[in-house]
Amino acid sequence: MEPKFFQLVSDLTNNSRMATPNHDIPRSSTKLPTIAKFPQWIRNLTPEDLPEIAAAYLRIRNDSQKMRDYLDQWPATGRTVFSSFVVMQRSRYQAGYTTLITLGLMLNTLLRIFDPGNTVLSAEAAFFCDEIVLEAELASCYRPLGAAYIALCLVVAWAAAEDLQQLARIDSVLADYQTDFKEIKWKDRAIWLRMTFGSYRVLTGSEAVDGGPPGSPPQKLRADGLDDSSRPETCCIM
Amino acid sequence: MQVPSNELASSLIGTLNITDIRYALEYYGYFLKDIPRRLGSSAALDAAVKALVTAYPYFHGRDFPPDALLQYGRSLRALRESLGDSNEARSANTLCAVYIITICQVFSTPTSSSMFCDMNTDFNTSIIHRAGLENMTINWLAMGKPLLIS
Repeated sequence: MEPKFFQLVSDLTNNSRMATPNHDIPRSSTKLPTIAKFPQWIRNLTPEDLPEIAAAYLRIRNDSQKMRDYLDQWPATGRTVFSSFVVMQRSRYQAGYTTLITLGLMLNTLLRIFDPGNTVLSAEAAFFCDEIVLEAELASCYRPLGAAYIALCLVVAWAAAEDLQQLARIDSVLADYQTDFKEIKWKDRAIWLRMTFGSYRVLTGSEAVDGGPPGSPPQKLRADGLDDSSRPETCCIM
Repeated sequence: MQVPSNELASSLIGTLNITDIRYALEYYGYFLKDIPRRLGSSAALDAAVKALVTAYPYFHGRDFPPDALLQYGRSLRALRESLGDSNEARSANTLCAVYIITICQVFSTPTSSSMFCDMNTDFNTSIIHRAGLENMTINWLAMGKPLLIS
């Protein structure tokens, strides 16, 4: 996208926020130009992208912690009234939080490609996966439209999860959400994304071709064999 | 200029007034509430909205009636015609029509129908190669209308 597109969006969003400021509620501070780079980072990752990815990840991680704390303080609403403004507000905030940690999990996985032994990143990835599953279960009462974002979050969690038990749990929840909109094959997208991550690990030498321990020297990073023709149709975010 | 379709606007408003979060179209953007006042000025937007309000009652786990599929096909044809018009192709109404048809795709496209696979392919091809979506969006934003900024 041309730079002037992002400038126009920034001007419009700043104007709308000035009209209704609410500085007490933690929000994501990640800007649209950064989010617009996610497809490029996933499909054509280069070592030169690392500093920017790391900076974006730290920002997302910090913002998500504040949003999590804010959600935890939200008073219980009692019996859920699906037309209630308060319920709608909370569900939208949950959606924002879950989407944010999903973005964080994507960046976390990309960082671990270059630093597979980083136990902090691994622990944070496991936490994000657990959070996504938890939020999927909490949002289940808002299905179908109120929780339509969850499937994409589960796709990323499925692609990023390393613990087999955790992966099985994510798979089960994703299969359940698949029934909401049968036309979209979420599992295909999850498999594609997981294969993309795996191919980068092979190329960096952090994983052998058969998924075993590292051995091959690093090569030029390209997800060869996983070009656009194998990417699931209408997979817009990736 | 087309006469605004009050029936169509009423149908859309009725659909948008569903506030139950499980079924509220507001999920797709708060800006949708601004669509009714734009009806009647764009054939593509009118057709897209018609497809949406026809498909909406059936989107969750129900078989779509022939009329819903028919309206979806008509919306694609109307969009194709708008994209062929140099004035309409880059208008905000056409951009809205694209977005609404995308919603309809999720709602109403049966995977077993090769006819609709072809129609969707045509739709995607049109958007990518003929709409110049990026330029369209920039022109629309430059008009200062935060239609897609919620």
